[in-house]
Amino acid sequence: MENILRVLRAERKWSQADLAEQLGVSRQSINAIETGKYDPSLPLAFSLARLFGRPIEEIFKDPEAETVEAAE
Amino acid sequence: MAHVTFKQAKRRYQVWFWPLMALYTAAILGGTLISKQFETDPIWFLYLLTAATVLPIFGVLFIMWRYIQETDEFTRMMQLEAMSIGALITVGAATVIGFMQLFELIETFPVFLILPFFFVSYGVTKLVRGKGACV
Repeated sequence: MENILRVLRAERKWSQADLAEQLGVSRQSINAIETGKYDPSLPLAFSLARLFGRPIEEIFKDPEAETVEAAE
Repeated sequence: MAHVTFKQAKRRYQVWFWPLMALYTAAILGGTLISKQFETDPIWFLYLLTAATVLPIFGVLFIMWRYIQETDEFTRMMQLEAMSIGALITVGAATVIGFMQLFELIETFPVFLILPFFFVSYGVTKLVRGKGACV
């Protein structure tokens, strides 16, 4: 799943390790999420949303929803 | 279960892992040295040696289970995947060895080697998957 985590992190000048520390997860987890290799669980997605002060759907893009919108 | 962060889970694992491995090594080396004192090893000594060798290994298995419970979701997924593949490789190899014994192609196989074989399979799987979820 695509997301704008890297952008949000860069805006705050946080490293992957900084973000991982704040969420209590490994740096590898953040890297896997940013590169789209791993989709986080709802609790972790909510934690990210809370941390960045954005709704989940602004951070994570639903590729199927975009396909539907384009078709309409 | 109290929530612990990835770092805390990792620290709790590592704090126990090395002392347990040191105990295991001491049991094997110490057991071999003490064994030389006896002409024939007494049965109580063999039971004691078995317990001293196996208990640290059970300790390691316990802390691995605890680490999987406590670590973050991505690391848990990677660990469980590597363990599953490692277990499948080990079971497959044990089956091949079992049939080789049955058909008398080989005589005996030291069963205690199954655990190190599993750890090697599990470790290699983690490296090959290369997602850095190693402890």
